[in-house]
Amino acid sequence: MPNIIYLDNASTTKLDPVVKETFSGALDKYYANPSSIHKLGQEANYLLNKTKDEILGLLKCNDHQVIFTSGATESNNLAIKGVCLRYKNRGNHIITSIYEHPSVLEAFKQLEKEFDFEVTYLYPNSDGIISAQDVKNALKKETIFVSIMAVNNEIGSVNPIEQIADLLKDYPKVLFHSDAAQLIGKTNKNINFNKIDLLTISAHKMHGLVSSGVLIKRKKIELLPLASGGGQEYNFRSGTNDLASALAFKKTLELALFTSKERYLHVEGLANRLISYLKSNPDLYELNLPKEINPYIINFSSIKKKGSVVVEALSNAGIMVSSISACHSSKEKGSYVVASLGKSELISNNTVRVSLDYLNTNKDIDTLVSTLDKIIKDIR
Amino acid sequence: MVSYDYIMVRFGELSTKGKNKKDFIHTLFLNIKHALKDYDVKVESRFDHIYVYLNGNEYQPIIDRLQDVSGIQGLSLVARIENDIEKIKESSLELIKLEEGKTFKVKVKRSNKKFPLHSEEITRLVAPVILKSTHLKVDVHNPDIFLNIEVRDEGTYIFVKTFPGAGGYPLGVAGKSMHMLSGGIDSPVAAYLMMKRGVTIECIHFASPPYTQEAVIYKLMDLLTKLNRYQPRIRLHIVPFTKIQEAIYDNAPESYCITIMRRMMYRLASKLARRRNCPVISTGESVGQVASQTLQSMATINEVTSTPVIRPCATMDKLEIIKLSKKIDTYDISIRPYEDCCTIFTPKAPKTAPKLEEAKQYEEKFDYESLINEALNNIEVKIIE
Repeated sequence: MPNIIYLDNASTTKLDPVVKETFSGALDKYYANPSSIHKLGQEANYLLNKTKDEILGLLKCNDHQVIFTSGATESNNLAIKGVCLRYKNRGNHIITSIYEHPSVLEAFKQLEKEFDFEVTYLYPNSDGIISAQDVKNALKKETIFVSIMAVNNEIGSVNPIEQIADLLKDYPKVLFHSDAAQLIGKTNKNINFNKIDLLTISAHKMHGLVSSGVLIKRKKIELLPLASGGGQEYNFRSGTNDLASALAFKKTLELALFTSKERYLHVEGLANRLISYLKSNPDLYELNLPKEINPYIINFSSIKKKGSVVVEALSNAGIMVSSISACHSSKEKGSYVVASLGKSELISNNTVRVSLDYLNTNKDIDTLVSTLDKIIKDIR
Repeated sequence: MVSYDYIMVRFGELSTKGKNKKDFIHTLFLNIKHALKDYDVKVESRFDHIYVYLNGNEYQPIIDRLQDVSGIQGLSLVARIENDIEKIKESSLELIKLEEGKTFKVKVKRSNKKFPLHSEEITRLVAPVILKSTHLKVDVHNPDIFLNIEVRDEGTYIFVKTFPGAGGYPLGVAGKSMHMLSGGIDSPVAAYLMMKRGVTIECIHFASPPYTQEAVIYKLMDLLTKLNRYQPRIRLHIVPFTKIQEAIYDNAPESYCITIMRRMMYRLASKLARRRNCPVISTGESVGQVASQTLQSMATINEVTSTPVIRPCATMDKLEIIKLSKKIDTYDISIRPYEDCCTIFTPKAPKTAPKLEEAKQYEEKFDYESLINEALNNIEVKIIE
């Protein structure tokens, strides 16, 4: 096997050794249950709450609370079903976009099919994004909930979640959730998260642990818990607290936010290198990108050769990329996300997603480009 | 106190196999020992049966495991007692009291000719004891409880519960086959049927990276792990097929690609079969299922080899094959949606009646012999056990 070049960072990222150290150190040190009333338990509980405060501080959220979860899928489910089922007496119309992650889409479909909610699925506009105006047009008297992802996981669209939040301020009955799994630590913008009612963050998309995430939630919002039990996490998510994961999460977030601008610049350079190659071969590749490009996710289609074969050939050459989101690539043939941009079946069935990271180098991209060039010529 | 301490293993068709019988029984004995290696039991081989001494283990899991071993006709849960008529009467009564039902029948077999009483005499002595001490009545045609008494040299066996075995021959006695394994639904079922008939298999798979995915190999390993229940150690030969497939694609019209591809696969399989001392090839092909499995196609494809090809699924309906694949628990793995060599270059209109002369004509356009030899020299082997 040749050296591995890992370009599938939107699926998951390599664990940061500092996070690993924080985690394993905490495992040894803080083994008591934070719900226990003895000294050791209370110490753990104090640390857990302190960690939550620090997380809110890092995100500059002063009106919120942190619920630790098993990752973005659980956070999304808890936000969506938790809010909609809790407040269903206020109205039965909810809004999301057609290109959300399956953990959002499937939760909405479940509410639609089994709990009689009416769902509006917004399509991205010609820029590849969901605008505040799109959301406004979809609002009804019965609308109680809107969920729009911050960054799309397949094509990298950066949605204007602050603007959407500003818009919804005038509609106090409507709560706003955003899945920010692909955003944190991967943007050059200063985002005021305090405006967002509910925010999903995952650790392993930013060099943290798998099975670790949070739902950041405005304090006054209540949720119908999906897991009932001992009443942990303000009664919204029962189960023994995992202090080591919590400490690791905070460390992950800190590292991601601390250098995010430098990292962004570096990744932007890598992306431009790749994009200029793809653009110089318009007969071979079609870019599937929003108008405003997010350098962390570069999606294109192979026009002449099967996308899945290109991905497999790259894999055999030691370069790891995705054809469609890893979460559902074993189930479906084409990308519903790319199709939602109005692209043809040929294009949406042959997508290749290169998702970059600050650990990648110019040499990685040069190897990718030369390998891609050879593969496209060689395969039938 | 008498209890069911043994499982009696009854042989299938081997009882008809004269002088090979001893070898067959020994192979079955070894296969049973291997199948039960995780249990603390003792396996005894005797002339007519094999006995598994339960040694305090629960019988059901062991019966379940033995039902997967080929060459077994039936299994009975038995009690072994001394060859003594008083003990036989006493134990028969004790054991029949554990059963539910209203009617019974006693059947006696006496292979120990030194025992002083004849079969019928034993029956006439045992039945009245049961009639007297229970509410059971005799029904010789359709009894609820069938009490079997077998008087043998080493002791007398009493049993009520009998379970069917897998049938067939002990694995290994029928030799070895080179089995073509694609990863679909049919080929694992065909492999199972071969094993059931006593044939050990080695598997050959054609991989065309990057057109086929690495994930397919893991799928095959999962499938073969399931088949390890029937054959504990399976050798998988992965043949690099990309260059051959590309050459076919470059030299033959689309409609003949599948025919020629299958011909190349058979060439490779028969060469490998010879090298690995397998006198036959086996496949999961089923008549008429796809274009390459019509009779004309089979004939045109089969022409490349004189090695016999066994197709256990040939006349089965797809639904029968699926039923079997669910039984051997390979179905859920088989339906994982990966491309294999046969689906990746699927032409829109493959020939259902390919002509031999035409196929040969396209093959002549490239030096397939050297590509075949190159592929054979670069086989990757995995052992699944």
